[in-house]
Amino acid sequence: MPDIHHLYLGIPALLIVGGSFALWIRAFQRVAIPKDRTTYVVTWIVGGSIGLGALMMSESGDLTRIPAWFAVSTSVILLLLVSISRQVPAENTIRVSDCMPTFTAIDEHGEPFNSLSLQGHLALIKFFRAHW
Amino acid sequence: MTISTDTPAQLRKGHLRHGLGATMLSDRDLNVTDRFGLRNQGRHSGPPPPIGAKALPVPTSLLVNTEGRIVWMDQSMNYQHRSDPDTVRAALQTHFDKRDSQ
Repeated sequence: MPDIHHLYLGIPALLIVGGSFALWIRAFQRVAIPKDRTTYVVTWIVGGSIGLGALMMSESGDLTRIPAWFAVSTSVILLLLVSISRQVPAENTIRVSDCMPTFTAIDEHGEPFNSLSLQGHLALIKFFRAHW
Repeated sequence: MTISTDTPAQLRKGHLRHGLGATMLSDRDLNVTDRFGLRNQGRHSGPPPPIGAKALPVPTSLLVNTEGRIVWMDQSMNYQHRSDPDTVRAALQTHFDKRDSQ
């Protein structure tokens, strides 16, 4: 019979990482990720470390390691995403009081758009990353 | 108006999904993004082509007045943050009021 003591660590690890991930997704959908993400980061490090401990206590090939694997891999991915999230604008980035540059682009219907059509209008322009 | 690296087909889906009334522009090659100097110079954190683009804009909201001048700007120094809707609403209110009183 396999030693299943590591489940007592693997399952809590998965609950910690999975629960905080669910809260993160919920905040993300509400455009409410906090500016200070320390609590999330600490939670993922703790959850991932507990999962890692569970993996070290168990033998390879043991299916009861699955919760610990999920906890470790999810926390690593989330920490990686946070670490690469910093944005760096170009030195010549636009600033308040600058004139908007003219531009042309294609709209969602495939029709050409010219920024000159905005003349005389107040416009809110939102640059966002993309839908994937 | 929105500007992103989505293709027109992806934009149409987003338009329907979010029920937006705004014009959505496709900037796959970041030509418009570069005109504004908004290409992220940090690590690329999106999927590579053909799913994504070779680079991404820094998430930014801009308000342009009737003379074509930038009068308000909100930029995320972290892509996981977005302009707070209440902050955008307040900026719109302020500048619409200013325009109406002129």
